[in-house]
Amino acid sequence: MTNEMPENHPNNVGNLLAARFMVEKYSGSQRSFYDRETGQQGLLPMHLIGVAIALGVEDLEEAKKIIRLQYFLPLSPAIVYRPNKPDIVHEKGLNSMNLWRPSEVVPEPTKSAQRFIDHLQDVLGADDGRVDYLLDMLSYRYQNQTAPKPHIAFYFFGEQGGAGKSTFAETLTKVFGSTAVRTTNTVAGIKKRVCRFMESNFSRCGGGIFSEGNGIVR
Amino acid sequence: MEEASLAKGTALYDEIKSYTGSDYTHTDRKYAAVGMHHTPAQLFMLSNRPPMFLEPEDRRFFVARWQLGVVGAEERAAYFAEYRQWLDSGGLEAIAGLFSTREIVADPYKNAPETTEQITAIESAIDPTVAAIRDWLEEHESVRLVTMKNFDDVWREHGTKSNTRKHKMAEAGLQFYGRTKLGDKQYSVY
Repeated sequence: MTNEMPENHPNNVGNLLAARFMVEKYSGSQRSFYDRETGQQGLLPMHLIGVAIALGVEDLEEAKKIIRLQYFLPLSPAIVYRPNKPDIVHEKGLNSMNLWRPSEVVPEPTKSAQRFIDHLQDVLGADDGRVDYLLDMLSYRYQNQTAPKPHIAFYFFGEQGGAGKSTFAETLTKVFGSTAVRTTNTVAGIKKRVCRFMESNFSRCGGGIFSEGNGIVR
Repeated sequence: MEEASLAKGTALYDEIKSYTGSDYTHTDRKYAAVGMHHTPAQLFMLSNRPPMFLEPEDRRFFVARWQLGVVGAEERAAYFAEYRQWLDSGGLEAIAGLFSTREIVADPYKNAPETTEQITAIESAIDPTVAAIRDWLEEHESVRLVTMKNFDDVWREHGTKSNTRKHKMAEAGLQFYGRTKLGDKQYSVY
């Protein structure tokens, strides 16, 4: 057996694997991998072998060898939240997983959002600038996702159910993206979200809100 | 949300104030020492009840009633069916378009505008410790003089720090009378 990488396949399997998988940790001599495509963690070489075969490697031993000899970038254990940056961010020489992902909703400024404005006026009233203030604040966050957050929290209440508060939360979640908005309906949930989404995994924390662009408690 | 847990003067309210009002916090990362971490979250709370925790000088919260004038279950169902249909057929993209291009007039870093709901909420906010002291006083109407010790159960239940107790008693309407010897100890009497 040689330590030379098998001749490149037509589809360059080693490089394709290296673009998709990163080493997240070593246990003894065993590496475990993070999959950038599916977000799965803790993958073992045997899983990558399956992918290599799916990519066209016909021989099992050759697939093992490609994985053994291929250089995979190391992934730092820190998880960061960096809006408008790729899924892996390179900072201070480290590659860290970015919690933020782009929203699936693509802005269409040419379409009228008047129905949304009308709805907000239906529930908040149309006469004293509340809707304009809310729209300004939401637009500011949308346009300036990396700017320091305004130190303002919103509290909307209505004794009567079925007025669209949940629909509002769902709408913001979809428009900003599910990684930029977190919702919870318990006090424990608030603390959990602070712990989970600040900048890494926390063993314990003092409680609080979230870390992303917008948090919703309902 | 369990609004009762978020009363004025509670630890949770203090935490929410702290996270809303600052951009960084000290906390310990797993397997690491305490460090400074960014908290970029902005909080939206959607509730069935008005807030009962606002402090008089609190300008962090924009408080507004969220209610729909449409009456009748069928009319409401129709209203939301139409609205959701609009959302699902390009409305979300239109909202994102609005957010991405809207010219912002309000200064997002200034205090939230005051609303009548906020004024009402501040006036009706009651510290649960103060409420418990008042409850105790109502249940012990014949007692005219009290010491801090009378409220030991209240302090324990609400985790009230010893240096804030006299302020809570004053807020509940008790007045300091003087110090007097009860048994072998000198007590402050209210």
